[in-house]
Amino acid sequence: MPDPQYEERTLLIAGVPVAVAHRYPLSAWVCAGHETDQPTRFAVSATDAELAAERDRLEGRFGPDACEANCLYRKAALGMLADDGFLLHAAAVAVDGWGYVFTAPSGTGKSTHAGFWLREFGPRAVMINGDKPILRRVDGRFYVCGTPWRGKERLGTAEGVPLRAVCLLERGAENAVAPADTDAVLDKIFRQVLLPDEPEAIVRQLDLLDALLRAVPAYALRCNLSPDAARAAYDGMNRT
Amino acid sequence: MKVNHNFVLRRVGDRSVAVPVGGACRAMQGVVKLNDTAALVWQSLLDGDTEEQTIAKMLAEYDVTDERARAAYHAAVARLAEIGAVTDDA
Repeated sequence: MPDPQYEERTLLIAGVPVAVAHRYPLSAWVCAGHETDQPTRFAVSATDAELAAERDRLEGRFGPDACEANCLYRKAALGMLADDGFLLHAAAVAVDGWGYVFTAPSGTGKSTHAGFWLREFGPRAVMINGDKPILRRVDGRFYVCGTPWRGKERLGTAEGVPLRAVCLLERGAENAVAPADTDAVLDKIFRQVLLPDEPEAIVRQLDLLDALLRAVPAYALRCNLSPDAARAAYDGMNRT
Repeated sequence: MKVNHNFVLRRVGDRSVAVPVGGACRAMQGVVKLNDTAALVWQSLLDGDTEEQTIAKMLAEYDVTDERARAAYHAAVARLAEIGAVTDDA
């Protein structure tokens, strides 16, 4: 069977036009609805060697289509650094047009907690992205943005909203929210971003994290995975 | 003493962090937080300063005695050696 051929389309990802060349149907499905005719900022594709490396990284659990989708998103996210954007492993919701990101290791309950916010705030709330949104600084302000890569449930939007808070989520017996200091953030956040290999790109990522910490409040959220955790967290962060 | 230039040292918030360059190195080490003294010492060594020049910078920066500065210098070098940022010449 011949190798599949590349198809290319330009997608608008967090406001940045990216040319995505893909070979497998899954990526076509992911990209659908995000096309733009704006001039491309940069291009991404996945070679056979990169697909093989991704398959190894995922311990052989996924086929070439999922590996390609992962590769493309990772390369697009790393390319965003040149436009002051970066990927954060987090669930992102917006309430009244303001974004909140919940970051934590896998299995902590980010998606569950984000779901509680949608339930609590009803039409005031929208899911931005359930797993890996892009945070981007534009004119000195940070936004959290949805992307085409939003899981099989397709939860999330393409829009970006101003970022109100970065929340370090952990499980606890009681719901509690408190401001998080730099140390608390640094201890956790590096595992939730993609760190590039090249020194110049690492500097860009670190400088963006520095700017983020200075511009956007960070909170430590303890949540007991009950629905009232959402109201407790929101009220705690918006206390006047 | 040799300085390993395969790290990026940068300020994030009110802390200094050191990030190894390259995935393989990072898989072993990860991102490291450094206190201000270790960050000053390392930057000084990266700039090619000798031990005496580095201690002179520490004395200019901090209100400490010569003895304290030297002790802090050696503690910082030990920490940097732990993470592979400096190695012995031998």
